[in-house]
Amino acid sequence: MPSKLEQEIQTEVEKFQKLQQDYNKLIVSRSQLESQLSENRMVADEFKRMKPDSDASIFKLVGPVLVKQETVEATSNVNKRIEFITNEIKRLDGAIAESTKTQEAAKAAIGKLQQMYQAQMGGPAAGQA
Amino acid sequence: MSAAEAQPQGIDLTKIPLPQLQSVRQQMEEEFQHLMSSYASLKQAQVKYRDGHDALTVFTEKNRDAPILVPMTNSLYVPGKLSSVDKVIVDVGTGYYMEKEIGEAKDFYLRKSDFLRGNLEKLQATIVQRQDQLKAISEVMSYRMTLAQKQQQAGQAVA
Repeated sequence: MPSKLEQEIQTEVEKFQKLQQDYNKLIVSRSQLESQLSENRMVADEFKRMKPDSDASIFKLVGPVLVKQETVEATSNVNKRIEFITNEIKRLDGAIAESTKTQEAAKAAIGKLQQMYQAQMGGPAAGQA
Repeated sequence: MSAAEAQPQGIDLTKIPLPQLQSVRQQMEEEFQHLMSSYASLKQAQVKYRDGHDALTVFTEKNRDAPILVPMTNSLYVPGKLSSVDKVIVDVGTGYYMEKEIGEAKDFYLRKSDFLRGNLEKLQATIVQRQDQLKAISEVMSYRMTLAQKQQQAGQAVA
């Protein structure tokens, strides 16, 4: 039968694994945002390259159709998106730093429990020998 | 004894515990795989842009009103006519499409393709570097494993 300490270690380890999963999720969304940001930046760059006097149209893909959009509107849309994504990345970076901290704390807690466990196991085992 | 002699000649890698070395190698292998798949997708993207550029070479005055076959699906084509050789619409990403003159569009595709080529070169350098590191670790690991085996045998012989 598992001792109280063993159960405690078990729950701590489970907690830690859950933290790790959350952390991985954060990392995945972080890299997704990063690629979205660079894609949007490239589009913004493309808009900037457009000659100011050109009458070339910009279209936006809405479902299966291309809808014509004013250059000014498209540019401001993309710039707004870049701003939004940048803010999201900042928010995620904060969350990632937070998650790293809680993970380290959980790791330390597990280490402590394991030490206690080993000390406890070492005692009776040495007695048996 | 032999371990004590081996350590001073070896690099840092020889001082790391074997299990740790193993997990480092596994991590590096995963990273290496990731880099390889990134390289493949980058390459694919570059080919796509180059194809776009090549396709534009038929948009010449000579080919105005030329009969073409328009693909409706992978296997169904309908006859058409190349009514405009002046402008095309280019996908610039994130759902936006821009109308461009042929020259501009060619320039766009060339630019994208060059950009990707630069990235591919950088990535390749990283891949080669990782490969060397992976090789170094593997060599040290196999060396240490044979060493450990010998030690074990020596210990058994003494016993």
